[in-house]
Amino acid sequence: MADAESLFALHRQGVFRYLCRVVGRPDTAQDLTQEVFLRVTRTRVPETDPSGHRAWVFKIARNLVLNHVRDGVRRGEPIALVDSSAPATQEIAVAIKQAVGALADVDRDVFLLRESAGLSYGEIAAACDLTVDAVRARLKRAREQLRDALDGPMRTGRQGVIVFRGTDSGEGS
Amino acid sequence: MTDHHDVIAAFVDNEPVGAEELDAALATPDGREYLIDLLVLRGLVSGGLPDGLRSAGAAGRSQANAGRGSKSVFWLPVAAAALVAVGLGAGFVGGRVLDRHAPAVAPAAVVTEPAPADGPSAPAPTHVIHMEKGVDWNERSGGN
Repeated sequence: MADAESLFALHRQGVFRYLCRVVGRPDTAQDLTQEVFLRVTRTRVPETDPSGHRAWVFKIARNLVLNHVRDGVRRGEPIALVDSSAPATQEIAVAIKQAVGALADVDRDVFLLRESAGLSYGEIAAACDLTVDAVRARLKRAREQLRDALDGPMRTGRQGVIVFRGTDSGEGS
Repeated sequence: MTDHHDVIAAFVDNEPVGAEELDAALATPDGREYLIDLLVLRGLVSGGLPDGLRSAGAAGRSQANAGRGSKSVFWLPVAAAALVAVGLGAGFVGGRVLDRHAPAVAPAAVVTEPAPADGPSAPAPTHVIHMEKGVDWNERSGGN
């Protein structure tokens, strides 16, 4: 039976990475991460397996950041999807920001939960209230859209060194 | 080649795939190109992580390490509390001993007046706050 403390230890970094990608500001992402785990401590942790716990935590994170983004839009605040303060290059960062920002909301969430947080298809499905097949389809669509939008950086990347790495799905779990 | 793309994407995403399916998918130039594209895309997206993200991750690890290595820090307040308790106990015992040897002095009379039975009663509460276990606090999480 997991408790809030162990969930914090396991998923803090993944949640922060995901939130950072969505809001684009590490300081804001840090605040939101704290808020996520504050909610985790205030709520009864569901009795499920580690994968279910992770999906549950990220569902809280997703709902929280959706509200944050929605409130920011209502207040007229600019939402930076990717922080361009320390990119590989400024141009690539801007291109990634625009490409990710151009994705449909759910497609973007699915993509970032996979690439930034390392959730499995099943976990993403649980976090976003989708089926696994829907996750697969949205992920594919998002990647194809990004592939087209990032044609220039992709060509440059294909000429460099490729490292095969899975996303940080483990996070200790 | 949609199926091939799905198989390759699943493989890249650590999802289970059949070996024969993967073999077939990677046997095509399109499949190999798609595999490289997915990896390049992943590198692009994860390559531009903000500084704060990395430093926060490092900070998290260092905090975790510090947490494991700081048992002595945990004992400091416990030791301080023990010292205070010992001091209070010694003071109490010492006071009792000295009091036994001190000359008896009649205590000053304390006069208390009972409140009149028919006096004004306390006002009724204007606002009642109900706290519910499991909603307003959670004992398992330390009451926060």
